[in-house]
Amino acid sequence: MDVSSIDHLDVGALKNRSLFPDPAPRKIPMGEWHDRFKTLPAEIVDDYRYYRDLGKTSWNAYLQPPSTFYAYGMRILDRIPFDNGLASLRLWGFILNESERLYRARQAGRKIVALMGDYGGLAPLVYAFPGLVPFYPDFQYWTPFLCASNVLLETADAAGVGENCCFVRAALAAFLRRAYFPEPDLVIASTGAGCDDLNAVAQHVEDRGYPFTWTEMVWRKRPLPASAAKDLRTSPGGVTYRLREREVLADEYRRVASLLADLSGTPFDEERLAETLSVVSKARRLIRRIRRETFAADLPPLPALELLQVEFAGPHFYGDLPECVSVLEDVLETVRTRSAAGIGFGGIGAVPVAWATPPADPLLLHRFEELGGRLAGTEFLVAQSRARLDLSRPPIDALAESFLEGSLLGTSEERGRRLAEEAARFGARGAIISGIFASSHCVSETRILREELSSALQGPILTFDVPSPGGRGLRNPVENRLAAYMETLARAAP
Amino acid sequence: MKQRAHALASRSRRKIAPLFRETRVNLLAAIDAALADRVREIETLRRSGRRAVGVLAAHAPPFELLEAAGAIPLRYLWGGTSAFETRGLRLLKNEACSLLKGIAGALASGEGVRPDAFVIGGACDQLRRFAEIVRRDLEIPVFELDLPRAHALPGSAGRLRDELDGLARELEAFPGLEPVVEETLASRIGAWNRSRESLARLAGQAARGMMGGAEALALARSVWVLGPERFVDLAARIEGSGGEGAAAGSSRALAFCGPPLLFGGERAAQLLGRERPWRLAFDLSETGFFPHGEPIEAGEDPLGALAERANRFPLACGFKRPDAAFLRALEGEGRPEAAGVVCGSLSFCAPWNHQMTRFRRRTGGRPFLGLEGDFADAQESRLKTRIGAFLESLSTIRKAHGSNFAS
Repeated sequence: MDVSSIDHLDVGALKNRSLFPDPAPRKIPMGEWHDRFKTLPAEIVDDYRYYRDLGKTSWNAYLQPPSTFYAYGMRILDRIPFDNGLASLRLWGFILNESERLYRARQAGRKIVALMGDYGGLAPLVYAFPGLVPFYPDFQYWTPFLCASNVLLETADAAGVGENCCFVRAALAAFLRRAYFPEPDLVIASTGAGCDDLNAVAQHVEDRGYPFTWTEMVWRKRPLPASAAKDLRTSPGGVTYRLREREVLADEYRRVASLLADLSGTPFDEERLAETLSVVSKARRLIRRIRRETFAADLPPLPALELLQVEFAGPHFYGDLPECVSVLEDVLETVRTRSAAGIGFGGIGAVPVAWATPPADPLLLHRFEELGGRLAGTEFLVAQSRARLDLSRPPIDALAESFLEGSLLGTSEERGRRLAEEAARFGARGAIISGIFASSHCVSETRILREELSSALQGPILTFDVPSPGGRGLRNPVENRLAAYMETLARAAP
Repeated sequence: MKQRAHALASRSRRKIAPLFRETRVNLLAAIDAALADRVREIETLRRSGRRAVGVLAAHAPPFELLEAAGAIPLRYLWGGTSAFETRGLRLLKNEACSLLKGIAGALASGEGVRPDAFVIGGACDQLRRFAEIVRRDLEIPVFELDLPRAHALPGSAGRLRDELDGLARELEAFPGLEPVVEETLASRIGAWNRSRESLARLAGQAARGMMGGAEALALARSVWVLGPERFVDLAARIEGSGGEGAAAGSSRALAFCGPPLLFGGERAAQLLGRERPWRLAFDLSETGFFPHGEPIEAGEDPLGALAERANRFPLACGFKRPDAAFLRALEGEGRPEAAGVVCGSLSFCAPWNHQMTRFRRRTGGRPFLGLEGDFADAQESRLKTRIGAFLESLSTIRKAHGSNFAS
């Protein structure tokens, strides 16, 4: 189909977008993007900026080809094929630029707030204070795979947090090596109903002497028959919780707000938080729509890896909320355009599969698609970061309530059921559960997730632990099992 | 001169050893007998309709609350044998906590003591998820208790009080249990206070070497099964029985920390040297002396008093954030002197194992032995070797440094 005939609508104020129309969707290697980038009009490169409130500076353009980041050390990029659409290039550039962005934020006089453990609960609150930038050191979890290097994991091992801990131990190593993000002005670590591996890492980080505070995440307990109905509430996403759970979380958020006010030198302003939440709400809506349209389209309009990147915009919007919204709008537009045109990635016969827990190794998602799979439902531990916000509530309450939809706050059964419902809605014929050896929640939840998915989908479920980078000998069995699984699903196709 | 001193010390140790062995046999036998009596009593009570409520998690729920509701608390202190752990693999992955695998395996195969319900405190991620497995797969009712981990935050104790209040209401609604009445709760607090006082005295005796270290560990653990009244009885018999300074001459005064179970009673005796006396300087393990802490002032709000104490509980450092209080205790602040610190952790216990290097730095300069193990029989020789080497190293350090460490 001649995609050049598709109208390219203006995306926001980016009138130059039409100067570089997307070709027919195809995955291309890093080298091809490197060449294609040279044909990109300078006006478009000039348009994509982070921290736009600082104006157009010599350093805040982020549209770069993947090869730039390969040169910075992300060696896996020469093995990842990329969506050849401009919106995806923009998404990659925006994401991979984050480390530089944090250092620039420090240079621009902004304060850096490291959040640990809650993946989307507190970041909106941080954005409600001018001059504060949130990030999650936890997401250094990906760095060993992106850089195809065990350096961070070995550093963590030397610090006493070894392979019995999830890959999130790379975050500790990143703090120790002091080269991955600027020293934060405040660390806020969430404990309670979360992952114990991350908790242990955060405890080590606290020892480093940063301004540090703990916050508590409540356990969303299953209501018992003795619970009075008047104590129960339902979130916009349909999750039942106890009023007391929301109140406890809201109290915590108020306490953190006062710490952030001290840090930023600006008093907490509920109206400003409400305005921030309306932008956050927009961003979350965009994420939900991109997911829905990608799962529902005849051909996936977005590759699996790019979809993962979109989902992980939810926790902290990669450190620049307004620009992230713009990036997501661009991606959604591309997704809609492709869906309407019936074009996308893979073949019509691609097998729809749900996926639980994000694979630390991004290559696995690509391999999955190479083997004829497409995503039809995901539960990547960040459900709380795309949960609907009830903006009719006081903003702190709205934020607390949305967090109660968190992936890890409730039971594995509930998590499995939610994924199963989504998977069934989008016609998944199987599900993959990727875990991490000895991760505190994987050891208990995997079987339960498998049982919930199996009963709902009537198809086989594949579970495996993602091996650490560089272990070719360990990756081969996983890839073999993945290949066998996809072959089994394909043969069982109706 | 040195040789003469060494010869004198050797003769002294030879004189002590027989007394020590005799006292050990009596003490461990006394504990075992008391435990056996209590187990029979519990069985009788259950046959008469009393409800047994299983308890996991180090510091909650307060046993006083369960007893005030008419329940018999059953503290699950260990995972049994490697066979139980293996059976637990039906429900948990291999890299799950050994304790939970063992309990799951025992209950799933019908061999463990099956309670009428469980109270499970969300002290760690695996425990929190285990609650779901107990309810869903083992089909045992579960009361879930959300324990604040960030205990130093304003409102944490109040939040825990709310949790305990909710638990009391859930217990009341459970068939066979009773409403928790304040007077009854205060009375149970009083009973446990008496056991705390006994424990404090016995801890002092243990530190002075009036009983062997393994016996001391067994004694501290026994209170969770015996309950306060029977423990106070046992303590009174022990306090009055002599065993004068049986291990007082021992140069091996050890401090312990860690989750429960790796060292308990007879196993500790086997692992830690049957023939070489050692004494327990202080015990920060979750089933040890100090979790019981000081007596609690019930006052006008006994539930609040329990919550406040449980929230302050400084010793389950694997769970509490921050853990400054635990680290100070580990350094020996306000504690008897110890020659070395042993942290016995369970395999795949994230809250403890990932912290070992931190603990190693905070022992006040004392040698530190971090152990990780499970209930497999095959672990015994490995643990014995490591512990034996550690004890030998303490002797070497003592010889090299004189009185720098405990004598």
